[in-house]
Amino acid sequence: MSAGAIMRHVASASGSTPALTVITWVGASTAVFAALIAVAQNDIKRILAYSTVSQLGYMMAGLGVGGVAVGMFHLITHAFFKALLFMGAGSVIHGAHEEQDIRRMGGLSGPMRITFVTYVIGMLALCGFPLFFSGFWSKDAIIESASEWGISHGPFFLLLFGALLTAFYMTRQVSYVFFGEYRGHGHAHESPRVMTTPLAILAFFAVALGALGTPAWPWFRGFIDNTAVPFRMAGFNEPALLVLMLISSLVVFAGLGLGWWLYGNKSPRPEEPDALQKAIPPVWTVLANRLYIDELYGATVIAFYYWWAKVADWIDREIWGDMVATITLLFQGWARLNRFLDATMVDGAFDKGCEEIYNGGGVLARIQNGRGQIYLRLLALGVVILAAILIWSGRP
Amino acid sequence: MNSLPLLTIITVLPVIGAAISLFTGRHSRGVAQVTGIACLLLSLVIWMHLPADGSIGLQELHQWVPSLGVQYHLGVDGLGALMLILSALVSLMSIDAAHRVHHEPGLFFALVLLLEAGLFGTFTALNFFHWFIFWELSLIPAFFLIKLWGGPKRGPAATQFFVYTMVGSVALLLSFLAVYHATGSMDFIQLAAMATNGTLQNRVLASLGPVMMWLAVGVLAGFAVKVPLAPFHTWLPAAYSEAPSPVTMLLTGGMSKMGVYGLLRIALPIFGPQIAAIRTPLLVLAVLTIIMGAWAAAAQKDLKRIFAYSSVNHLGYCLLGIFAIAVHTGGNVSDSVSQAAALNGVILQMFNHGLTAAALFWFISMIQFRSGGLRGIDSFGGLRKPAPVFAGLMGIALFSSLGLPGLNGFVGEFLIFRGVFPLSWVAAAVSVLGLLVTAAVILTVILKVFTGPVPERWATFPDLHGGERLGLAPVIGLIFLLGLVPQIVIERVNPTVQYLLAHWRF
Repeated sequence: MSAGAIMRHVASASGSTPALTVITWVGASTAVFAALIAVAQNDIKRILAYSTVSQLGYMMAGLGVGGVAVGMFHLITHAFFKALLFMGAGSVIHGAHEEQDIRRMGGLSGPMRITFVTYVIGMLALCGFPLFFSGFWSKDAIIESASEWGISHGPFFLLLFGALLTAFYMTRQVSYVFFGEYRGHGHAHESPRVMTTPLAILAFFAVALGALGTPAWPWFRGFIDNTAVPFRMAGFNEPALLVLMLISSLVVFAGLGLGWWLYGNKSPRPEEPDALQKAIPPVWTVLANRLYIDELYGATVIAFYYWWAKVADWIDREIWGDMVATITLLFQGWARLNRFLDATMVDGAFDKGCEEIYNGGGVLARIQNGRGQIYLRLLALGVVILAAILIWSGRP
Repeated sequence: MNSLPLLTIITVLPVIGAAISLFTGRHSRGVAQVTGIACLLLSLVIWMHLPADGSIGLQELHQWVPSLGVQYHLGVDGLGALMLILSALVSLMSIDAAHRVHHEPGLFFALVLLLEAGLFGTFTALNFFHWFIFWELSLIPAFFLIKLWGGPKRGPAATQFFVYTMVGSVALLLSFLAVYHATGSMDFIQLAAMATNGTLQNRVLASLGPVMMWLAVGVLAGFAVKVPLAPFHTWLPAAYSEAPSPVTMLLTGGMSKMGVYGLLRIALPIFGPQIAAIRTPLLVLAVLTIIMGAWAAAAQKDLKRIFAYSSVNHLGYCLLGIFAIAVHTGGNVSDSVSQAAALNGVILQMFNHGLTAAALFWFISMIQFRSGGLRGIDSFGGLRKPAPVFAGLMGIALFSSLGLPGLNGFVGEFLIFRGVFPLSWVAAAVSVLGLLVTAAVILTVILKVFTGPVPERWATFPDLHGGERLGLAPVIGLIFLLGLVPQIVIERVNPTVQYLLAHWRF
């Protein structure tokens, strides 16, 4: 259902052919891609989850090849039958004592009558079982538009292959869950009315909604395009359309048949390998590992995230941090140089001068020792010297 | 009311509070709380009295040293007033968070209040001389708060923080001395007007030669260190993680906004054409800040360092918006709309990041106190079970930091990207990676700290008690309020944005 918002966006933004081409290809490959993964899952809800991804692919492809009306119609019908399937899965899990592994179920068609009937209705709608189920009409509109797409026939074949896979994996799931013998713990029981009543209501819509989008009365298309649509049986009177309906029906039958042939009524033990695993082991391994997409993300995006975090941290510490440290060191070196110059050159000269003054002072200080006789002697010496100078200089 | 010098009062109030708390010892936290609440109320009053046209109001103009062109010139517009509220709010949160300061509490709260005064002064001054005094003055209390109450490596962290910021400031000062020499004015509004009509460039050219670009680079350097812009950010992780958490709240909530504010109030109006000329390298640096900040956060194990780098990343969005705006649009209406969106986003992001980051560091301080000082993300696990309220409230703050729509962190980032994309789509496209990585980082923190099995030692990890809940409730409420009704801020910020864009020339 979340697809609705995105689709409105895409529909309003696009209109240009390249954008719609991309949308078509992405949608068609998603449809096949997710359906392949759904084939080899054992969790009842996980199968439905991948199925949802696959059906979103159909909607996108429908949007690309047929426009808003085609894509949105499948969105509406899918909303009902997928809600039915998920609620049915909830009922099954509840009835089988909180078990989600389809290998530990089986034979639930007996004890869980209402769940079984409604689930099969939902499953047939999802597979696109001809004429009586909404999914047939909505999916057929997409496939029909894809067959008329002028750019490539690739999406058409992809979508047909996806339909085959859908019928196959849903048959596998239903066989495991509802047919054969019960392989779970305790005794399975039907869910209370509060759970089964909504199932019945949704099952009604899973069938009835198809009436709004048949070629005879494409009411939904009229609703989207805002035009009145008359009912006319002649809508079916196109040979190409009838051929396509036949082809897609045959594809659905092939998928159902293949699934039933491999899994129907087999009740394999839980620890036994899957029938497909026994048939073609390498394919099973790849599909069961979900085509290694999680591993791919782990090895690319997630690995890059952690690696780049280390790089960012390293650059911070080693490059910028070291640069700052280098500048700091340069300043410290400059400061040391200044101190050295101060200490040896400037201070040295100053100290030398001071020393001389001090030494000179020392000689003079020795004379001033406070003894009267010395002072008098020096005085007398001075007088004698002065007198001598006077006499000497006064000589003609 | 307008006759009261509100901006002077709000700046003087914390100084008086600081003086009182110096002599009140054990009761100084109460003094600081009262002062903080008074400042917050006053800042809200100022917010209510802004002029409706988005211009600068509540101006106070007195001569100070007329011979040097120094005036006492104050005034705020939507941007300045919002920063006043943020500073008051973050200071009050910081005072609330600092209830376990046993070592000289009087001095601690006095310094916190002085820092608050420094923030107020920086966000209100309109004369370079006056502004620069507060810009430098706010550094001193921050230095001593880290140096005296910090972690084991506080000495080098405090020195690096101080010296690094000083180097930027010196470049800034030199540029402004040159501008003063050429024009004889230090008034931001006058200089912006001269830049708009071209006289500034002509006078600088006439008296100093072709140095205008160097002056712009000098001014940018001062702000780049403060914000910080990579690669001038290396002081930040050390300072943020070594500072005591209440001080980290002030550093990230208040002081980092001084740089962004300076870019908007000073750099863009006065040096618009020069910044526009080197816009591409500046955008590269802003993108680098966003990307490397986010990824460097991913590599950290210490909660404080994680959110230090995350702060670098979040402020990177502000820088991205600012530099993307700096382009000559030639009257193109859709580009002008984008500029307005980006500028609104930048201003909201300043406020929202301040609020959220301060709240996060508050929570980290609580974790540290409860665990006896541990803050490595690998030391914890499963705290959701013993402390559900703690996990819930911190979870809200974390998701706000992640940018979850409905919480405050989303609004600013969204508007920035809305505005930047049309102006420079490459920068926007690369920067979006930062959002993704930040989300991964924050979810990792939530996973490692709050989920998983509870280690035995944390089985009795105490939940938030009544007082802490009471203190945090308004913050969490504000996170929701600003996320759901951002109009209450935008309606006053947008006029200023329009006014500024109408007056800037690139």
